[in-house]
Amino acid sequence: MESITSQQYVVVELGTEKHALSISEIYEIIKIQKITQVPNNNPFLEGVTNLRGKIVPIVNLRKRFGLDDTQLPKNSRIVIVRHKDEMIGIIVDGVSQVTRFSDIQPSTDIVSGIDGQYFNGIGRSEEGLISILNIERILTWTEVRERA
Amino acid sequence: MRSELMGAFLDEVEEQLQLLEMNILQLEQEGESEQVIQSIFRTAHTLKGSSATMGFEQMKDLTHEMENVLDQIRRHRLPVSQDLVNVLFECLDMLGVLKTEIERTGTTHTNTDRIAAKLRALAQYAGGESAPPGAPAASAAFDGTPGSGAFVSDSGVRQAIGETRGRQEERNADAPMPQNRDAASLGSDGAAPGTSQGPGPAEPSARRIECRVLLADGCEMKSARAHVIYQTLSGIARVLSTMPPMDDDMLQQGNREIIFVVETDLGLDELEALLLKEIDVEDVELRCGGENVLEQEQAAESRSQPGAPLEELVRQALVRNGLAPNEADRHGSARPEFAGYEPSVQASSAQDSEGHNVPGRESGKHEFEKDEYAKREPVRQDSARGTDAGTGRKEAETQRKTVQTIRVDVERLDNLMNLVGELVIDQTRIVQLSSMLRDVYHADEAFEDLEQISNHIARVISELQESVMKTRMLPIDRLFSRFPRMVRDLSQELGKEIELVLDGKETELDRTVIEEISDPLIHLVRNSIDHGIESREERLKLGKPAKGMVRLSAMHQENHVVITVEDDGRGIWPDRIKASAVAKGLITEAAAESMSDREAIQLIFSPGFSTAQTVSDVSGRGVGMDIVRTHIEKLNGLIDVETKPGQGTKFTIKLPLTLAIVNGLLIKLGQFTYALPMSSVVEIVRIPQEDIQSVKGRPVVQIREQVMPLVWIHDHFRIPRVKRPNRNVFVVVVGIAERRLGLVVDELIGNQDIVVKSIGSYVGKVEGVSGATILGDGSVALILDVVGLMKLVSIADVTSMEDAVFAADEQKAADGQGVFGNGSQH
Repeated sequence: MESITSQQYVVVELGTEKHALSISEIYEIIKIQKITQVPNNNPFLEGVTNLRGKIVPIVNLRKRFGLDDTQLPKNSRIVIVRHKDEMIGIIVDGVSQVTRFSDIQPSTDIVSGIDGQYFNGIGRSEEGLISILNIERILTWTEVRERA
Repeated sequence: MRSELMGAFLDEVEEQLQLLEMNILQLEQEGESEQVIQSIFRTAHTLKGSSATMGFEQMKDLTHEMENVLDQIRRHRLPVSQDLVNVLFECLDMLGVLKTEIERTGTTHTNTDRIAAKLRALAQYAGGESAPPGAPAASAAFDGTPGSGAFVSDSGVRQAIGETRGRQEERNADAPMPQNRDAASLGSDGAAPGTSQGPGPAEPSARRIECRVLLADGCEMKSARAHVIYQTLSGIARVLSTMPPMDDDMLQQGNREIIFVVETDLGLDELEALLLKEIDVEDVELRCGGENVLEQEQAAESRSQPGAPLEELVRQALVRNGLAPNEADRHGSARPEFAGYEPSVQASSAQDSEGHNVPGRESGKHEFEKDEYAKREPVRQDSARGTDAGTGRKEAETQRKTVQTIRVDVERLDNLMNLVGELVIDQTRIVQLSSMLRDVYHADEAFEDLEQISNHIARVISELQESVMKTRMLPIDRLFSRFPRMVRDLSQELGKEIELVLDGKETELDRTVIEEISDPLIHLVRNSIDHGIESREERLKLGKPAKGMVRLSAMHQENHVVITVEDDGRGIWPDRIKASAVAKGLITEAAAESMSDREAIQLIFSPGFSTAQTVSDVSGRGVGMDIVRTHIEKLNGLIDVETKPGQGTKFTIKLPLTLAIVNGLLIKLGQFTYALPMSSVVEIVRIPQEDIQSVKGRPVVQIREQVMPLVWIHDHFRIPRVKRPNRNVFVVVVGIAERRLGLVVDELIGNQDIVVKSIGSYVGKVEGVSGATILGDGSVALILDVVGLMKLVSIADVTSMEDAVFAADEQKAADGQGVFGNGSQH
């Protein structure tokens, strides 16, 4: 438990909700920049962008969670994470702070109307309860394999 | 550290093997030549040395046996025959196998006994001159018949060695047989490479001085010291041979004695003084070795003559019955303790024990004759010229002066290329930014400076890019050099006489391209030989020269490399291709009727066409041609075929120079920018909208004589089609191989060098997109892949008969398995 409490998390905003990502998973956070669409079946893949000469795929967390994504809030950020040796950007509505959790509970089946499998658990902090994102699950698009 | 060493070792082996192959081929073609044999010998020796250092016993042993045989050839005791060349090739292949094993597993486990036995038999045959050609022992070993001595178990050999060693010592003390002595000298490690003149009996060697240099016990880096001494000696005399040979690791295991055999007009005293001046030299002994050596040799030979044949026969009998190891074996492994001591001084070493001060010391002083020197000079030069890369010391020196090269890890070059790619991108951005800023700050002086700097950077970067690209370039000879051997093997196998012509070997292209193109080329050449070139009889009947010709050529053409594979064989018969395609259900008979000859020939590139049966039935061409095409298209290349029935076939491959940076045409579809590799752009036309017609529900346009299907990529990429204000549309005609497609684009931006980047495995394969690049404004543009586009399009709708083949093609690709064929293409 000690390791959990010592770990830092970045709190991101998505709609009215707050989610957390382990800081160890984050490579960097950048502002929204031009994204090039890729003709691909993945519904939440926003496209690719240029991160200092590297082509980085960008996924939209709103789309991933099936939320309305018509307008990007101006505080939107791209959180770059490492996934299987690749850098992948995740668009979120905003990044608010870095926090620690005093306790982490397993997540329920449904968290704020979103499938519980996308979360590692619920963290308790001074700001209240924040769900912790499971990057692996969020990025994995199983439909790709099923359809192919 | 270890792996670095290993890497260097493997590199060297690879290089040496290539050299060996080249030389053996030369040996076969040009017959016995002093230079070639020397070169092969040296190569084998280098291999032996390095494999021994790395502890790869099998490789060492094999090269050792090889050396023995080569030495016999060198001494004109063994004629160069087809059999011999075959054995050498076999040996070469085995070395290749061993090398691969070392590469993969770090050790060797393939059994080399068989080939070693063959080599041994050869060496032995040459050694035992009394035995008639095809002597039982030799031929038995050749067949690999059990009991031929080749299959004596290891322990058996060792035991036998123990016995014979005793016997041999006896014999040595008594009267050494000539062949025995020879075998011994070449068996020992010291069969000096770089010795262009061995102590051959025919050559008087009276002018030589033998310098025995003893290094101080405490001398560190003895090998390096030895090299220094060698250098010194080379400055004042001609060093004929050294013992041990000049290798990097020549002095190991506490050995601190080196023998230099030199030719010089310096007096012995002078020489001695010079040598003693060298650091770490403890003692120097000089002897004018020449005449004595010669005398001894002659004496030994004459004395041993009568006894030799009988004893040899007995021994052969023993070998045959597996009771004794054969000659080469005995010397090969029984005498390592003599290593580094023997050959050129063998006979005279007997004197050593009696006293150093030999008569020659005085008499040899002034015996050197100028004309003798002059006579020999050309010979020596010849042998120096005829040898290859870095094996002999002399050659290495000459080479160092002419070509200065270093080995660089490919990864570093790739990294460098990536960095240059970044620079290219940034530079285009700077240019774009400065043009934007011009509007605002055009009056500012600082801005002028900025522009100048920007221009300069642009120039430097483009030069840098070119240089880095050049460093990655290799002459295509790397690839071409594989063919002589392959053609030789194939022509032997098929009993066809084939002349291989290689043109433009020096043409350079990116190493990745070379790697990728190798398989398709091999395939094409194989096809030409296998199916293109007729049998000798057939050719003669047709009035063609008996010898078939296969020509490989490479040349630069603008930003491309054009490689052609040409033969003067039977060509491809369109009618037969059609018939075969119909028989396979690839096309209908009606379609075949309406098909032009050219179209028919293109059928060989369709996957279903190539099956094993066609090889014998029809022209045979087209086996695995689809694979060839796929490979080439993957490289953004084009392949075309020209053929004249009865006269030959010519395949033309057009490839980009490099894969990392390509010239791209930037276009816009809707608001998005895409890049098309220039290599697949055939032409750009502007056509009035009303010229777009519909054939069987598909939009087509007629450009000159050709009817071209038109495609809006928009539909496939989910981009809304843009309604154009004017009546014309831009059509970019793209082509891969023989297929053409017209792409309707909304805007043409221009062409520029683009850096090809992968879009990564997360996005995965996107049909119609081969990668991405970064534009001047920092945004990402996808690079369209014409092959993929054609797939996309043909899946969408297939109507015309022509496309049936095409569709089958695509479906097969999609299914990942053959639709018509049985997957026999390779």
